[in-house]
Amino acid sequence: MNAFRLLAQDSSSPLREAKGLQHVLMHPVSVLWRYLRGCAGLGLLTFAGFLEELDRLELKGETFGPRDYADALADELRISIEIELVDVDDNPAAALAFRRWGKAACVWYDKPSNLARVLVLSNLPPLEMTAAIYHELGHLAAGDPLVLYRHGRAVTKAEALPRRLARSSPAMRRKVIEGEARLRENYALTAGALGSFCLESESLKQLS
Amino acid sequence: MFFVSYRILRPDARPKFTLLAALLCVLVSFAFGRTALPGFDSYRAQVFQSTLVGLAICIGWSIVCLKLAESLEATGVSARARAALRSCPYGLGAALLCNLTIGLAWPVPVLEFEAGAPYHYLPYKLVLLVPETFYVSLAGYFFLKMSGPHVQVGRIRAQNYAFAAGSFCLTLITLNAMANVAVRVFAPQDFRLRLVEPILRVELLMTILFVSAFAIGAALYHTQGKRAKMLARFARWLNARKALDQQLWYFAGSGWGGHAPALEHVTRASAELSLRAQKDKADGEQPGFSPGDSQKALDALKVLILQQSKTRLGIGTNTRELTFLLLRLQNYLLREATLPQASWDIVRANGKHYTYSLASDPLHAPIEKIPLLLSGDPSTHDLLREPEWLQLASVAAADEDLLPTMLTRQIVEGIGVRRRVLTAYENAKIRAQLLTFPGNEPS
Repeated sequence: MNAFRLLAQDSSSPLREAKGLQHVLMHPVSVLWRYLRGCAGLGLLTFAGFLEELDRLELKGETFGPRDYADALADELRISIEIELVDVDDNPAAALAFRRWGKAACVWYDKPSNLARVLVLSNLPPLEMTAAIYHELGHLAAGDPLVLYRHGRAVTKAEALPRRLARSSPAMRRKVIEGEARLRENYALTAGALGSFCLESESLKQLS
Repeated sequence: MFFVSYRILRPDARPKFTLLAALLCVLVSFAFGRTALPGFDSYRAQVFQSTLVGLAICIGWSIVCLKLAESLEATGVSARARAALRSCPYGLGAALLCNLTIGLAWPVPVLEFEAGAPYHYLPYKLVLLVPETFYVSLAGYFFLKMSGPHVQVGRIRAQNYAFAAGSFCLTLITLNAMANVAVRVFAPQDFRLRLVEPILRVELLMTILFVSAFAIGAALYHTQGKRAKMLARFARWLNARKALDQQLWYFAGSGWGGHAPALEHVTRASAELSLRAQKDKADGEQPGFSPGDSQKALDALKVLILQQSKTRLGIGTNTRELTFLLLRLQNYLLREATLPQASWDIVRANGKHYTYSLASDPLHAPIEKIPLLLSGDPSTHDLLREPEWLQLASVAAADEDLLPTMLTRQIVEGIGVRRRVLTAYENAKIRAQLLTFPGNEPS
């Protein structure tokens, strides 16, 4: 029995060594490749991909604002979306909480009423306010887990909506989730402001 | 030949650039061509020839780095990284000088490619190859970063991928050159003769790949349509505009670096000037201060405070650079008649209708006027001809010592601005003092 075990170990050791050597050689390459992929943003949503999403919302080629995008998204996800401004003067405690989190907006989801509330600070400059709303709507579109709230209070559990606009499943890492929401925010600002202007040229490779 | 023909065919299209590119190509061709010719009298002559090749590469790469630093996105790239790119001509220039000095002091057979080399050949080559590797990889990294999905235009992404690939090929060339140095210095003769040949072949292959990648990138850059350029500029403007908003937002948290009372004074003085304007309007005169001017005066002062602040925010780029970039891009977008009117409704809430329009961007007028205030020479423009909101912001800025000395002196003496603006600001200050008087403090 012992002899058999010894034999088995002996026969597998060159294979293990080869695998170890392969790991030693390939590991830095795979780390470098992962780093370069991350640096070039490969695998993340592209503007062309976002235009495809807009096509499903019937907003492709149209100029739109956050309210229009929210309405179209609500129809697609079969939920209600409300955009609410948190008045800094009326509700200083809420404003302080936003500041503590380092955020300008957030999205809460109430499961029983199927309502997503996008809360935004009222004292933001207009462009920043638009970007903050699009950012939160981007989380909804990507199907990211949302903070649940009950009776006006956030509960610690987060849950994803049953439907999502994005084709791919949401990312797992917080950094990637936020990065993709930032991309959606920028894409929505550009596509909403320029409408058909960003589709007309075939050479831009942005026609889906 | 290509650049000369291009200059003849299109004399108005970047004449300086085409001339510089043509000269650089001539220098590169001469330098490389000369190294291929046999018959070098001495080692020193070889060192000079090698320096000529190095000079061509350093000039070319410095131009690439400077152009890259100029066109980097406003956000996501730190000021330090941009400074590192801008230091390329100095870094490579110093390295080339050291390389030449070592080569002249202790001459080496640089161009006898298969010959063995003494130990001091190692510092002679590394003093130039190490900085070259650093700057080439740095540029490659930023090209790769600029090919990310945030760029939005597929063609520009492809162009930056090509430049990144070219830069990484050049990095491999420099690493290959280091291997060549090691072989020439340390390897025994028979081993060296076997190794040098493949090393030189790899270098040739990488050079072909590097040139091809840059040619593809340059072709993509020069053949992009106006629409693609405009879309890319809109995306850049958006990033820059958001970065400035973000800086203002962060700086508000610090109490405007101790200048918060000045903003209070401007708000109070604006109220007084608005009342005055209403009276003027009732008397049938042209009002000097309209309802939106209070916000403009506040924004101008905020941007001035931010620009003159010594606090490093650690986010985005330098505020002064950012405002110049923003102004340039916004003026371009507003000038373009083919671009749609970028305006949208944000939200209706609390009885208010929040909207945004590029044409009436709240920060546009303030950032357009600020360079005039900071130019340092008050004779170049007359503040009295400027709107009252700018005069008010200038009075507050002069009071906070944010303006150049000459302009500050002029404002304090009451020469450069209207009397009523100065009085409104003085009244606002007095009112603030009265409100903070112990007896008037709210219980």
